[in-house]
Amino acid sequence: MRGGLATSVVLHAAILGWALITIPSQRELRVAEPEPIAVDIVSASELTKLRQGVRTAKQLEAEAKATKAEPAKKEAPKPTPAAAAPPPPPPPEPDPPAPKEEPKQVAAVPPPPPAAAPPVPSPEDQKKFEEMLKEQQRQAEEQKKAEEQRQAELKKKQEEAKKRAAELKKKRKEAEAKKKQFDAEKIAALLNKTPDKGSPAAPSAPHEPTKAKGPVLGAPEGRDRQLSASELAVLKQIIRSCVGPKWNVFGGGEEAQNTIVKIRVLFHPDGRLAATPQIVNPQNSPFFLAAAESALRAVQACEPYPLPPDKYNVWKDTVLTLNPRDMF
Amino acid sequence: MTNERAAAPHNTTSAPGAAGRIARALLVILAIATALGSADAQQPQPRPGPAPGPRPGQGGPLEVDITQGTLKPIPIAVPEFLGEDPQFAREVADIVAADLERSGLFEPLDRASFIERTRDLNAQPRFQDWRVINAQALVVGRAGRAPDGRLIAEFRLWDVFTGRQLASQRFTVGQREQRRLGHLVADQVYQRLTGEKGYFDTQIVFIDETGPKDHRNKRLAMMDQDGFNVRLLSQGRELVLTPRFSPTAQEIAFMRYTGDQPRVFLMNLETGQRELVGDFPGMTFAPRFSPDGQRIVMSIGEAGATAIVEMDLRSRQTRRLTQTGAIDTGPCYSPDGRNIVFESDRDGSQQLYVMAADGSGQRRLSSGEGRYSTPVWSPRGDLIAFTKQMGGSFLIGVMRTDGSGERVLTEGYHNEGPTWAPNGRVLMFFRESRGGGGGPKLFSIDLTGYNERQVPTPAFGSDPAWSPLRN
Repeated sequence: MRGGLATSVVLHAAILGWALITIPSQRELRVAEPEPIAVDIVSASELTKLRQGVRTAKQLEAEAKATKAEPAKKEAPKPTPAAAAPPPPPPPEPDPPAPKEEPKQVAAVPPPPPAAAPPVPSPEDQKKFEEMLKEQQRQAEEQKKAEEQRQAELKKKQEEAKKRAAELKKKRKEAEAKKKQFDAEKIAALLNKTPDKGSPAAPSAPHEPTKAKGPVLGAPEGRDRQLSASELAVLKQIIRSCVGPKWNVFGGGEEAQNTIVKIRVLFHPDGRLAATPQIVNPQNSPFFLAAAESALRAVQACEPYPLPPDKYNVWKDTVLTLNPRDMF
Repeated sequence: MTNERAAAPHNTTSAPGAAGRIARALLVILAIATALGSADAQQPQPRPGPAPGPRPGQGGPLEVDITQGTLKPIPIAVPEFLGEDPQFAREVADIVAADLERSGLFEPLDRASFIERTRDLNAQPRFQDWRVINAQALVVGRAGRAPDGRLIAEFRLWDVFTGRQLASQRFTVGQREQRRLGHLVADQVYQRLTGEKGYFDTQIVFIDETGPKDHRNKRLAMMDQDGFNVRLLSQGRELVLTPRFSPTAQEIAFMRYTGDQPRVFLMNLETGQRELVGDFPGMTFAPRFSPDGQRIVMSIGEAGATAIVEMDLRSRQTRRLTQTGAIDTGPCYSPDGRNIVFESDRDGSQQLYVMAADGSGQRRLSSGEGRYSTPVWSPRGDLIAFTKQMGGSFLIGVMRTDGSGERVLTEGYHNEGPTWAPNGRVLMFFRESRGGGGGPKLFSIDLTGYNERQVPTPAFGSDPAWSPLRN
């Protein structure tokens, strides 16, 4: 038994000693560092610029071919994350909300040849495209200015919205046709940090007139009958933002919070009223008459309405429901 | 391995077969689930926003909801009236503009900005000129003297946007009632554009207070609702309180202390004649007329309690309406004469109660904290105004006739005694200012709580009562 105890102690000590020696000398476990993923935040305005780039794709192609001969010049130190960018982003959604500008030759822009651009851009191509985009924008502005001088009659909003609609339609056509080139341009557009000159921002469209006075495009019926929810909301907001502030509500009248006035308005394509607006739900009380007249005054004070002419079919017959319940 | 292969044929019929069936069932379930899942994913996302209906452009009109308007006053243009006496005509137009502005619902535009000069009342105005200065309505008029000495005014109210004439009328008043011309025109314009009946051709009877705070001289006084044409109805030798207008005749009822006893009197405003309503063996205060002008309701105190008593003015017969042994006072008829609202402390604290005009169906109306008093029923019938004392502050508030919707209009030091304008839209009350040199002043406020203004009085004033429309 004593021998057993001694053996036990010796073996224990041996194991402990071995552990004390070997464990600290082990290699440290290292976790492999993950590959950094480049992330780029694309704002709506960059998408706008993107589409501007697409507009004159034909020219882009020509310039790309022409300047291929001088890669050395175009080489520039570009931020490498873009070069190491992940695979090209998915194709654009069919109904982008931002408005676009268009020159006269909207209908004439053909789908560019697909084989022109390489799938993965090289640094010199990025620089090329960036400069081409800049060039395009300058040209676009010059074109716009020339057209402004030529056309003076039509309202600014109409053209802008018309362009937007036609642009949307064109976008759909071109999205399928030129995926590859699209990718390259997108990356170039991301690199291009020059601010947009002269293109009005979408959210302020109902409040500011566009600077462009391009030609009127499209027939009164408009080609585009499909409206997304956001476009519908924009149309309604155009009407609401003008009529609301002009509608004097009388707070103290009897049942003032329950006085709902419905007005039917018929419009001309240029936003003027085609007829005297009609009260859809006439009532006999003097309070209702006063509220209805106040609403009518607001509706009449707002003409001409800056509504998009190419969607005329949508808004030519409108029923406004004026309900002051939220004000009480 | 050999074992397995050897084992496999043994199990073909049993375990693999059952397992295969199970596996197939599971696969089928999985397939169905994925099919459903992908079907869900493939469905178009429901559109947020507008309610479903005929899509615009496809057979139905575009529906737009507008739920936010503006509470700003209506811009209106009131150019100088035409007339042979331009000074007189201009004053009438100024009264119209001032009345409309005081209501808080209109904004008369500065005459310096007007482009067109009105020369002919029967001509169509150049609406473009008025549209440019953002006028929504236009009042043109003429005022002058008739050969018999009476005063005449006529006006036209135009809608600037549609070019329609909304109203036109002509008024004639007595020789000395020049200001009434302006009030009558203002009433018509106000009514046509707001739907509310006007209230400018009315008077206020109140207690004019002069002298030091501890020894006030209180006299009965009357004036136009805009503070002009003040005239005193009593001399101040005796204490007078709580004057009230009759709804039908040019009469007021008020309380006057004869010696130590307060009594109720009726005074005819045109003749100045006074008449004692009754000699009651007890305190009497706060008499009010019924809407048909035939009865008076007041409170009579005896032996520590106060009860509400109704009296017929012709027969002088009295009828006791409450007998709770508490203090019931401040009664006021509803505009249809069928109900009476009053204050009572029968539940321990001062609260508002309502009962039928014969005294039946007495039930409590108010439910909040504080002490409620001086209830007045709106001539429109939809609201009851009252004074409420809570903590140290006094509030003027309104509530609906079932006691709900209680709302405070104004808060201040010693607000008291609301009275309604005849259109049930504007209230007047009095408020005491603090300090040794302070005193009560009259204020008006819209029932929405906006547009509180001080009403000018020659000295201090309290206990206002609003007359019905004079026309």
